[in-house]
Amino acid sequence: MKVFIVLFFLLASFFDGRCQQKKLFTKNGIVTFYSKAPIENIEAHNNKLLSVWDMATGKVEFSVLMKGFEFEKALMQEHFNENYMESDKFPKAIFKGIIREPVNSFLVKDGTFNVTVSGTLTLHGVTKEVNVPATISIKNNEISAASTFSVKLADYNIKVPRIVKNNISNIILIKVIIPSYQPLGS
Amino acid sequence: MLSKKSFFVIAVFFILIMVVVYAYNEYHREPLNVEDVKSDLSVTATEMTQAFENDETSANEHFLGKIIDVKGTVIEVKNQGDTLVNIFLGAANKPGKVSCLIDETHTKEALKISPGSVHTIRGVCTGYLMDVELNRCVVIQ
Repeated sequence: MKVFIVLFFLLASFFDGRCQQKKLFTKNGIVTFYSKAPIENIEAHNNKLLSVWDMATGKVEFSVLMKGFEFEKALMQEHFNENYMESDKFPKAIFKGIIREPVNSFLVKDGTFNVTVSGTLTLHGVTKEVNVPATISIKNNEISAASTFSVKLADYNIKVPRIVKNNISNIILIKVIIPSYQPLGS
Repeated sequence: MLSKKSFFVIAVFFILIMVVVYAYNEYHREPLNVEDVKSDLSVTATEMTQAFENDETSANEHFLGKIIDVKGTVIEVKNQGDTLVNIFLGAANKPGKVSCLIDETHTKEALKISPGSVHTIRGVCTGYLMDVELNRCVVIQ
């Protein structure tokens, strides 16, 4: 009897299209960051976040180009790249992690699921361990994801001069949105 | 006739005004429209992707942050909503691509372009992920 139950689940997973898509990716994720300080609020966005998710292992990776962040004001963008992030020296921010929860078992029906992604964030040449809350949604076989978390500039050796300490927050809020993952290779 | 002191006060006042006007304009300066400036470099999409595939660090030194005219065959025009249009330039039967994110003010013209045609696109190189990435792009030819 047990053999039949195991066989049934194996066959069911074989015929489920989502399980055949072992690796998912997107090149069109959106990263937005916000700095709220007494003198001004700063916001920048990047619409070319690359993410690869291995559904079999739960491993997930995100890469973003620092020079791809667009600001409302040119001066902010120049200061961000030249003075704070040193984007010529450190052109990418990379997150490598693993989704703790057994997501494959959730993603058999439509819904939104809360997960925690543990891993390392490399920013400005500094790698730190982070735990990030995220939501993964599935609707009509399309998988999307979102996350909001904060980073402390000091943790990544990003120095803000005293003269602009009221212009830039020490803690930056980061929002990540993946509108849709596609099977890798499509 | 102005005394030396009055002349000095007036000069300092004008310098201060000039500094304030300059600081105000600098603070409110909008990001560059690449259509209004000359490009730093002109390359083909194949040359650019090969440079990044061969040696990303050296290609970053050469291209990163520069305004570049890239010529190539349009592989795909991807419209992700009204303001996000990506044109992928490459060469037929070759894997590497240059992904050009079109400036929000030029998306209408970009959407008229069809795959297979040859175009030159000007944009700012932001680096290399799976493709070579260009932002604030404008189709110039």
